[in-house]
Amino acid sequence: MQAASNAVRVPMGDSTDVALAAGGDRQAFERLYRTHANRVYSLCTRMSGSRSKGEELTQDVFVRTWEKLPQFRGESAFSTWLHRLAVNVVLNARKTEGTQASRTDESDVGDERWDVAGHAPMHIERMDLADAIAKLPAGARRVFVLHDVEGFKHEEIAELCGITSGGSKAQLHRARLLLREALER
Amino acid sequence: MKPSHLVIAVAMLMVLAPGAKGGAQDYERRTRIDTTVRLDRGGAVDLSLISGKIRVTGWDRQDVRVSATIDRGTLRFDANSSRVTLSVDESEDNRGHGRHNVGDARYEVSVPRGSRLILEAVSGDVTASGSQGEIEATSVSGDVDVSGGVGEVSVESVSGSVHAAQINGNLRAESVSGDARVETVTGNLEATSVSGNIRLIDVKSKDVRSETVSGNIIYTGSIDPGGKYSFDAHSGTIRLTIPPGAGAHFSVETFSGDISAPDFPVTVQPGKIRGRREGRMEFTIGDGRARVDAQTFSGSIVINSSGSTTRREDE
Amino acid sequence: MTNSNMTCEAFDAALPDYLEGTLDESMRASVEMHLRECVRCAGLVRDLENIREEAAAMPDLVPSKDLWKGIDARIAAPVIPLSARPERQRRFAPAWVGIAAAALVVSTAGITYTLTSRSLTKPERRPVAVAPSTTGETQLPLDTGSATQPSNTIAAASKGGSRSLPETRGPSGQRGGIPASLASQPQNEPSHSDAVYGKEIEMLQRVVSERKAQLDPSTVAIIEKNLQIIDAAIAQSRAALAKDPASMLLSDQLTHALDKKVELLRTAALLPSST
Repeated sequence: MQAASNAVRVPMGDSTDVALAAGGDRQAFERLYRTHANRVYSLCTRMSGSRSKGEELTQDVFVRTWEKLPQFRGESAFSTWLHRLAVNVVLNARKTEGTQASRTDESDVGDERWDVAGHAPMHIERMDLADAIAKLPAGARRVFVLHDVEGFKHEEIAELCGITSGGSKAQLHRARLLLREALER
Repeated sequence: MKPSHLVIAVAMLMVLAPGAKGGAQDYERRTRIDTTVRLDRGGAVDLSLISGKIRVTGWDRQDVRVSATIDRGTLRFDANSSRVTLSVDESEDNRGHGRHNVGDARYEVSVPRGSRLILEAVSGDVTASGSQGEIEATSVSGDVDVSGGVGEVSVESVSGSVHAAQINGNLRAESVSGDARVETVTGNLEATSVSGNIRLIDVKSKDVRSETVSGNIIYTGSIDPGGKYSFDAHSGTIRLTIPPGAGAHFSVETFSGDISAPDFPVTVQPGKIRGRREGRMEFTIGDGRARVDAQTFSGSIVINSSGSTTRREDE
Repeated sequence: MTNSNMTCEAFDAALPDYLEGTLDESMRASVEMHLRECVRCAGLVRDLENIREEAAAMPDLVPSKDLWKGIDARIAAPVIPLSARPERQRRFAPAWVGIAAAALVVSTAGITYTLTSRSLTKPERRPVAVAPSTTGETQLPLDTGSATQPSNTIAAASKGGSRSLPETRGPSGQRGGIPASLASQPQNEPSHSDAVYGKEIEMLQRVVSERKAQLDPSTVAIIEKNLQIIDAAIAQSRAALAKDPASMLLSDQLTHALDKKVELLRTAALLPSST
């Protein structure tokens, strides 16, 4: 099935492509992909702190989206639904990598533990916000990206990350303070 | 090492020359193993049998002592400095009927502390105590009972029960129709059953997940700030007994059953209206930092404080 | 109400809620009064607010290469997704079942289903849609003819080709493919997830029934009994979900029960032979 190449491209809202893709239309799905890929990639990269991981996760997200698409009931905008799905994929990906991965870092608010690199990575000259975000400890980074970059609310973050909304607020505040420290040097 | 080599050599001889009539001593070696071999620190001990009993005990020597017999059939024993393997020989000359001819086996094995245990039985019981290392113990229709494990421990049975105690590490306990009982665990805990009851006592963990389809779940343990605890029974009661000072956000739901938390002052989240809605309750106790989810389809959910006098005694 | 001067320490404690906008009137007034007088705290607030604004304005990143090809390849191969738990290896398969390369291959009616010990993993939790399913929940089947759907293109890792699901749906606009928001009538067709679970369950049931003669009868009886328990749970959840489709509880319960069914069937499929 190939659209006539010289047809006028009518901007279709997502809903038609969603319906088509749910029915198995891969080209419709590709259109959805093209529309949303960068947003998803940004979220995956920022949450995971790595571009290469972000690319991998982006693919995982869209594969999962393809599988779950028929369940999407239009109770929210497609982009919102896609967003949540992406967050879930990123969070779950973290769980399967490394059985030793401790979950305490994202929940221990009072813990001044830094990220895996071990050193305090923030004391480097002059970096921009994106770099600083990537260097946050994992739990704080996730909450910060979800809240301040992506616009999720604390209740949603709590539900998605399996923490409490009090914990989410605490992580957010911690992240912002750490970022401030990194940026002012 | 020598005794084991001898055993293997003899066993091979018997297999290769089925017609040869072994002396009484040779025959005993095939059906009996009594030997001690040295095992490196953290080495693996791999024991499997079809029916019978496996019993492993940890001790302070750096040796593995094996004492094994089998009523019918042959034992196979293999050892090097990092792995000891004992199993039932199935490559009998009467292929295809091998299993029928294999009788009950009994393994009594002592292992150095820190050894990694891999224990399997089909219709046999598996017991291990004091190994202070990783354990993977499974049985199909027998019971599995381990204590004194460190690191990653898993116990599984299909129709038998599983029991794990004194585990300093992550534990996975699974049964299908038997009960799963766990005592004194630190580390992540996953306990599931289909039709058995689950009993988790003296758990100090940040990550607990427990599920059964038809059975009760009892949990008595700490609630770590920042921990995550989830309990799911399709039809069965969930009873949680937690320390009086615990702080957690609870999300508790049942399709048809009561929810009660008699010992705790429940505070509704400020600014949010959450209350009962069709058998769902969200509430916070203490500082609300941990997260506890409990769900049933039909069955009550009861949350008690371990400091309370109204605590029901578990059976 | 007059507020005594707030200390910087107290301000720090109130800061998160201040930025969220969740302080009550009098606290907020205290904070703002402090901010008028304290350079350190005012600077702190300004910096944090800047960070927040800058974060909200961050532009989308662009991947270094086009990721579509990789996605396309994966969605074209009809593999049932399984999350990996590589550290757990089922030992029963290689040692006991006595099948080469620890793989059970069942070829039934032109379908090849490969169940390896490595594929014994926990299926991802997949929330299940509302529609009551027509995939039969059967016990360990005694016959292999329990096809619930004409599922001719089944997920086998080696098979490429067309996506399996369109077989069970018509062209878009018909049957189970439409999101409920666009369908005007309630769906009675099996949903997508039901199809995925349904296929896997069906394949596993075939494997199990082919092996049934080799398995210990009392263990088989236990497994069948527990499958019935799970089926009852599935049926209960479905029935309740049909009346209250929006319930996350019921959807979760159903998903958990389906997962348990798959897991139990896998356990059964890889049980050691007793003969």
